[in-house]
Amino acid sequence: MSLLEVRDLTKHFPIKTGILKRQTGTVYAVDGISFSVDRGETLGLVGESGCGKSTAGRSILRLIAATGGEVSFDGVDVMRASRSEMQKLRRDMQIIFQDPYASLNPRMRVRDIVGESLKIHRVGTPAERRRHVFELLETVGLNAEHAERYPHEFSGGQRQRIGIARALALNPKLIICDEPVSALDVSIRAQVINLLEDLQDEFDLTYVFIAHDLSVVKHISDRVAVMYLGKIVEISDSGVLYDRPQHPYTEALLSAVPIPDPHTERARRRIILEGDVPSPAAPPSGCVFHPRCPRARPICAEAMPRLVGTGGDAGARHEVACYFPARFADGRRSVADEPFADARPAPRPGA
Amino acid sequence: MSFDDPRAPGRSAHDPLDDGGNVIVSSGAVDARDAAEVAGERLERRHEEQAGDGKRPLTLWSDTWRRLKRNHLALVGLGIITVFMIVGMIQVVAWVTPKGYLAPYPPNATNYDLSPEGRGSPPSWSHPFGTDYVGRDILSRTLVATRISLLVGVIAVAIALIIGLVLGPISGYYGGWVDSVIMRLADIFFAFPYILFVLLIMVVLGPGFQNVFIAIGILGWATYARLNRGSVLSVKAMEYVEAARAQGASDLRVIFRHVLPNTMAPIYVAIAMGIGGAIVTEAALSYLGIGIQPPDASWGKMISDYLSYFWAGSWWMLTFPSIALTVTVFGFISFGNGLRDATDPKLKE
Repeated sequence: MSLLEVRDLTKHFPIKTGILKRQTGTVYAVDGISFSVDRGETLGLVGESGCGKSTAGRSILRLIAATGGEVSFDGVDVMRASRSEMQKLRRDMQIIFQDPYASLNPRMRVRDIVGESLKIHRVGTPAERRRHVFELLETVGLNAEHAERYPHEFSGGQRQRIGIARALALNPKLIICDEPVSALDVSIRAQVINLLEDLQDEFDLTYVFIAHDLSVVKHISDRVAVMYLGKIVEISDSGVLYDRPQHPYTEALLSAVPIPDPHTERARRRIILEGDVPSPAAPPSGCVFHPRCPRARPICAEAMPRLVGTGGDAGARHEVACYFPARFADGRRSVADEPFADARPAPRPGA
Repeated sequence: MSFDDPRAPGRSAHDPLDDGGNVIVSSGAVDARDAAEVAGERLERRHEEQAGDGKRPLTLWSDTWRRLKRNHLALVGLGIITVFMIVGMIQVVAWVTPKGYLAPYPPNATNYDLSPEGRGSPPSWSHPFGTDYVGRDILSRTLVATRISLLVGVIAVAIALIIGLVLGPISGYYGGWVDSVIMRLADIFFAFPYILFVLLIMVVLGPGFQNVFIAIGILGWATYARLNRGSVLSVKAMEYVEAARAQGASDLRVIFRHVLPNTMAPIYVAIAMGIGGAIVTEAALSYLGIGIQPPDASWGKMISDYLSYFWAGSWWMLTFPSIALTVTVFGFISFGNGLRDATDPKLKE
């Protein structure tokens, strides 16, 4: 059974204007996403800024209340968990933040930051907690002397390690990594990524790894989900997705990743998308990607295609939400030369 | 620890995503990734050394002090506050001794050098500030009155702070109707004429100097609450607040451990100003005859009592307590102003 199961997760933010606070619009930040993550697996969640990936992460942890959908963690319904159930869940689900300068309380010592969850959940005696904090700091590559210092005395990479130690304190099962290396110097990124991988092996962790950098995600993820405007447009095992992307948006993203070889770089075809990402407050009709899609046809403006298996990669659990997914390298379409029949939305009852 | 992807061994170098590491530094022959890692570690170690050897990055307080030092008016204010605090503390301590005061003469004893016309005697060697219309020593009265001013400043501001720093963060953190109710209540407190409101509370509580403290304290909360609410609104959106909630911290813990300590800088400024304001309010109340009751002395009470003698030519009775009041309040306000400038990030050079 999967550790984390997300079904039709939705988060809409109302736009209120005027003194009467009447709702005049809705931001569809996350609009019905579904995926599951197995124990010990890493799911990469990729997309441009504003596509709703961070909102999705926070909704899963119930740091913000989702509008709809279901999140099941280890068999527990997160959305409907009572206060005490939620408190238990908090021990098993943690988060690492993007900005190491904003995610540590500047008025607290490192030992209080890392040990806070132990205190909240009343784990051990003060002496035991202290020892555990020292161990955690060493686990993430800092040392015990750092415990007495304040966050401003550390560099960005060290701060991110403190954030990781804090997330590890209660020995969680799942950690949502919300762009944990995006704010770091390029030279520090590799260290933090490697640390996260080592910790995954050591503590049997499951990650949801949110990022906008495809290369980072590829390195760490077993599976990758590509988000666009609040929806997952393609999800697959990492290698398959990168080798044989099916969704035109995924193809465009991959073609933008630089190749470290000038000859290949010059020769290859680059897909440059036209226009900007539409506002999530006014998403396009039909497939949210159709206004920018090079393969769009009239049907694309009518209804959002469902995520369906491509059938092309046995065992890869490769799903794409597109009426006209890409050809495989051998010229064969994933299913047929016809528009992707399975992707058509189910007829609405009574319509 | 290697950055190589074990899941994709021997992938061609033309792969657009050879692996995560190669985006950082791409190279075929040398293991550039290790080089980057070493460089990164060196960088980090340098940061660490900086953090270790005395040259620590500036904390809020050391940074504030550095800039406050250059503001001479604020330093004068700090000096005045220090003297006032010392004198006041001595008087407060002396209060509980059997003698009850620490001054050249008992503050309420009469007939020292009472001049025949009943106008007191001007400053002399035995009475440097002169004596009043019943022959009380002005210097002793002015000194002893310091304790009333100190107590009213500290206690009234403490009461206002306790109320304000509970309601303010709650208002800002929860928002919605809680926020509306608390802020409309604050508006009501702001809208009432201040002295009139204090008078009203004094009527309810009855006279007596303890009630002056309470009345001024109850009235002052709205300033701190509203000031703090604004800071809470910005701090509650910080990631460390979200992190605390992800740890399972209760609302109370989040508000008072994570939010409130990070919203205090403007509050310290308001405290300095508030103490000055409370001293003035006490003087005004005593001037109006509510508050400190005769024969006890407070600066406001003395100003009220001696005003008519001032016009009759006995200038010394009014002058010395007025100077004490003015200088003290000036000290608090100039220090508060300096502190505000020193903590204002917009004025940082």
